[in-house]
Amino acid sequence: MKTQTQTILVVVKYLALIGAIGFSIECGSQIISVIVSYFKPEVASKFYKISPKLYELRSFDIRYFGFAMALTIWFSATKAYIWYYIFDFLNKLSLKNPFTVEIATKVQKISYFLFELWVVAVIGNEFIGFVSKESSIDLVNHFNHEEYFFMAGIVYIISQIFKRGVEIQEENELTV
Amino acid sequence: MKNYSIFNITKALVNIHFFLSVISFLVLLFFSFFKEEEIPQKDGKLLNLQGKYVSVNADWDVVKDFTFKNSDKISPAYYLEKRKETGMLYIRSNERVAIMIIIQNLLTFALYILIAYFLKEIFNSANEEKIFTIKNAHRIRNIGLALIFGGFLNLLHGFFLSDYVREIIMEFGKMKFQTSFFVFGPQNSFFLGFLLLALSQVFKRGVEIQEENELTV
Repeated sequence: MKTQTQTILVVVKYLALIGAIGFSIECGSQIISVIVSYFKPEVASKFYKISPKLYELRSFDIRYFGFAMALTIWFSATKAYIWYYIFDFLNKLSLKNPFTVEIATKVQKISYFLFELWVVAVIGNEFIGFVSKESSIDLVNHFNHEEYFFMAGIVYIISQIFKRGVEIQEENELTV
Repeated sequence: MKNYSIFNITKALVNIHFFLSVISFLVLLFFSFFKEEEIPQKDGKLLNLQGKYVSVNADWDVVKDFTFKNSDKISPAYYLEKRKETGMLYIRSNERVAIMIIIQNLLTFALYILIAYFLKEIFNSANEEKIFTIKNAHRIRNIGLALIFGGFLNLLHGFFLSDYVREIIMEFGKMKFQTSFFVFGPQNSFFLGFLLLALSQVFKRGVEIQEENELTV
């Protein structure tokens, strides 16, 4: 019979998988949209999770468009990877011995990925701010960044607790 | 004894964060009641909105030259104002939706403080060299639940507002609202909430194993 712990972990594991698939579709749609834009720009702007304003930017300056799209794709690809990483982490998690250095390091890595997401979003926002000044195209709020910094912080804090726990456990074992 | 400098720095930051959250909550409460908010009108006069309107950040695709008809009235139920970076939706404070927004904002900020408090408590419990306790597992679980609840509040906030201003939405299409106090969008709130729920379960299992080991010794 499954315990409550196992049930919650399985549910979260599959939620992570759904998230990974969702963001992969978003990322794929953005990549295909960029490719299609070279043949049929009017069709490319109608793809899933594509802001039509990005295509206004294309007609303004193709280099700006290229950079904005690269950041957008990187952003959604990182999100997809984080979700997949969590799925993989929960898939390989052994409940017989959950407090290992490996687990603590993996939790810490999730916080680093979230921090990376924040850095990309900050660069994206700065770039969009610059583009808004150069042109009349308003892409504000294309990247939300504050939340990723906070998320990275919380996960990092939890990872520190895990690390400290592992260290205490190791010290206890040595004492025994 | 190993060097726990990173842990101690993080602990200090978590404690500072908690006290800053409480102080900023009090400051925000103070300003939401007493600050003067004046909006320039077309005739050049300033409309003082102190205590009369609740403002919500809104992001929408506005046709540039469009002027919102109801903003010409002296005291409309709601009106939109186009700003450079984002739009602002003003709702008269005696409207039911405005009261709900105030309650939701207060609740979300209370959740934010609760999260900061639980984090502080977890770190302070580490002083006693016993970090793997069922209390800490519950604290991590509670942070996760608070985030999920915050996500729901955020969803409700968007739902009620969209319903309230559906007339405008029907004209402009999609409209995105931001809650004033909670940094997370619903999607990320659920993401982090569920992740912490999973981690709390791992933590709980660790506590059980530790208790079993102690019994064996």
